Amino acid sequence: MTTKVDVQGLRAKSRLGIRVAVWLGILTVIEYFIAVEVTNPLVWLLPFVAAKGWLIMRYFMHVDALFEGGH
Amino acid sequence: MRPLIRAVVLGLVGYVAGAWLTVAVRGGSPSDDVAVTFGFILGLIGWLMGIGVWNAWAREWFGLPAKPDQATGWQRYLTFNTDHKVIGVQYLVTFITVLLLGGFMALIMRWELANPGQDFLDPDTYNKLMSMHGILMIATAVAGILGAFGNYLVPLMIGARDMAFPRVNAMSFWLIPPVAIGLLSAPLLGSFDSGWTAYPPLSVVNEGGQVLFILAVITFGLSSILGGLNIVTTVATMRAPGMSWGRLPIFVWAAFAASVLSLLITQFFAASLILILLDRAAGTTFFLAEGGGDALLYQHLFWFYSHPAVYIMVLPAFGVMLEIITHLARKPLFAYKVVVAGFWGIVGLSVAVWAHHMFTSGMAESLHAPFMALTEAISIPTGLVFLGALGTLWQGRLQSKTPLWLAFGWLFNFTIGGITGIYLADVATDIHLQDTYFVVAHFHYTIVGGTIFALIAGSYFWFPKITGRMYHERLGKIFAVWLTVGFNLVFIPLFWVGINGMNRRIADYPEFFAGPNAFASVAAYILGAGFLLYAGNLLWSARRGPAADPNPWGARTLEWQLPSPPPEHNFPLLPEVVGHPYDYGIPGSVHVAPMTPEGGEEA
Amino acid sequence: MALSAGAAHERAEALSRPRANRLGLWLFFASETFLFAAFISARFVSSGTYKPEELNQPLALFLTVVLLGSSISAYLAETSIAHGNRQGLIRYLSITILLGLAFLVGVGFEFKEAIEYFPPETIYGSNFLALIGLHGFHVFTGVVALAVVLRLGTKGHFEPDDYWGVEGVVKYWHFVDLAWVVIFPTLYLF
Repeated sequence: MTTKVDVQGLRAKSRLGIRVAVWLGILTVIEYFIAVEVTNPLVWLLPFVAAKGWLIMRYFMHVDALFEGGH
Repeated sequence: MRPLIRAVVLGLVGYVAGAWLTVAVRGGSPSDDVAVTFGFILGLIGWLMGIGVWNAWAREWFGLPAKPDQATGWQRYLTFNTDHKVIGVQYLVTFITVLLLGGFMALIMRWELANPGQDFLDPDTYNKLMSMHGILMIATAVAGILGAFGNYLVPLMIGARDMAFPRVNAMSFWLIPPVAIGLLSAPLLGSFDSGWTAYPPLSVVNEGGQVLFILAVITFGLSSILGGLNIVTTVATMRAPGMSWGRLPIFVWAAFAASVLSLLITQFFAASLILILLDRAAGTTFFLAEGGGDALLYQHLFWFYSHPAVYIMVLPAFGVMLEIITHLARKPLFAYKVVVAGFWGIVGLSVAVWAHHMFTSGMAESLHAPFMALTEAISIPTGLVFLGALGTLWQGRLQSKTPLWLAFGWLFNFTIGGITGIYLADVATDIHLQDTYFVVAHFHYTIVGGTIFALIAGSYFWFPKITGRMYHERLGKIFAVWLTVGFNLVFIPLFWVGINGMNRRIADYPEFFAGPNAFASVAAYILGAGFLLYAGNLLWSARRGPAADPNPWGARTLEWQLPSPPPEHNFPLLPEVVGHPYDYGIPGSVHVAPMTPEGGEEA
Repeated sequence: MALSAGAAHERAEALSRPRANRLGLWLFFASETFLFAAFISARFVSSGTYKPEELNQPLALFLTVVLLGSSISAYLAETSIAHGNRQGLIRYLSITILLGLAFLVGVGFEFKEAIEYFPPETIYGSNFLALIGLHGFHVFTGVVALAVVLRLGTKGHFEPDDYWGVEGVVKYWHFVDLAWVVIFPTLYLF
């Protein structure tokens, strides 16, 4: 029942996740200010949507694990 | 029997609880749209939990051990059984039954249409009957082949033990009975008269039966999505050693392509019906002009699903027919790779043709030409598949068996269905032909002539595998001729009345059309009577027929290398695939290494 | 030497199971994407990029941050159990659930406000409320699933080499976040 905690690995992965989240936050804030300042911001915002979507799929949802076997 | 009784009781309790709670919270009548919606949702959950989702599955979510149903023998078919072969048979029996029921409704309509004027159905009842016939038959065409043969054959053909998600698979079947109950009990709430297409604004303002239609069809969509997801995952991850993509049996390719399509686009049908439900029950105005809504939005969302849906129906039919033709023509499948490319060409184009259903709807003129061109382009991949079938038959050593006789009927029908489709894809002629019996005849030629023929042919071809017994060959051939001739006698005249302007979905017609209609009605009863022969032959043979050889057709695909019916978990040893499945007549060619203890996969 | 029937199948099963689970879940996401796409395209078809004055953009920004925060805590929960840290799993799952509930409360408030300014009897209101409602329903199911996994986690389920339940639910939660990444600009920014 008592499994050994891999502290090193956990810390590295957690840092990575938090870094990604900070980036997501920054992108969201920039996105928001563009939307407030620019009229008709649709074209400007699409790259932000794509970038945020890619970050979430790549780092949070581990989409690349789909193409390998096992854990 | 116990799980089934439990499911019915819990389903009813759920329905009553849902409807009653809604009335308690917001008042109103227990038969209004909101109460029926919540009743149906809770009833559905109750039904699923009762049939076995709780015991076999949901218990694990609460940390309890699962208790899968242990029933054996025929009782397996009435329980939450996860064996893909049991589920395949459940689908087959269910949808053949629905097919016969829908056909019976068609016969009632043909009785009314035998003479001009009103005989015994008032126009309103006629429309409700027509709508019910439509949705039952659409469901049969969508889920019949994919549910029955897709489940039964895909794991066998790729050398897998079961589907990737057996419990999801069982659930996707057990979602079907509530669909049937919902649709068939719609008359209690006034039924639905908007056809299977459920166009608003009619479907927003008509009687409460429409809500049951919406809920049932969304449930059916969920079942299709889960089924498609299962087939795609199974084919992608569970192929036996050596079963490369280039060696997949053609039916597996067809089921895979159709499943990809069904998995994705079915959501658009669900979405369009959810929006109608919101318009009816939550006071929104998506499709009502007075609030700024637009009924055309529904048509776009709906046809974005429902046109590709005809390819969900017909791709598995292509697969079934190509299997039958190849095995019974004793020749390699002609242009295998081109046929597979044709499947994917159909999948790709099918999502870009939907507005050809809307040429007369008042949508933007600029959309006419592109949708006409794309629609006509889809005949290219379809033609490739057809060439595969014809090329395989050419100079083959044809085995005169019922499935092959039906395959010839299928080729004939689908050719007519395809050619008449060109006139409907063409804007200029479609404006004249839309909403006439020409359309009715055309899509019956493709859906009945294409898909239902394949369902029936497949039910003969794999009958010895599924039951372990042989059907009566001569009666089978008589039925094959009866079906092909009868079907053509019914629908050929309808092209003529359609060209001359007889409108569909109307219980009456001018005197001018009396002759062909009387002819079609008589032919319809002849065709209907033929199904007694079909059902009789298969039912009798399943119990009393002579024991069948495990491989009566001498076919090479994996399912025929097993005893009939195959044992639970299919393969005693992992089969090893070493060659293409259809290399008949090529010296030294082998599909599967011999499945003896020495032949299995090495450790 | 040939493997016995059972052993060979179990080995094949063990190799393909995580792959099959992941692929199945991603296919489900692909399917759900089409559902959201249908609602989002309905919004653009019926009312273009029209945005009324009363739209509460700051609240939406706040909700976005809340959901983003829940996504990182869900990530940390999964990472914790993958490295054997059960306390971490429980702590971060609880935080995720709380943030999810906060999001739902915020959406409820937004819904109530929106019904007054753009009621469902207008086409803009129909689209706005339906899309918010659809996403809110997904958040709700996500919270329920997280709660189920949390309860199993406290009871000692899941190990570093066996945590598909956590992984699947957390992925679903990220997917709900991903949907919001598109819906937020669709409704509030474009």
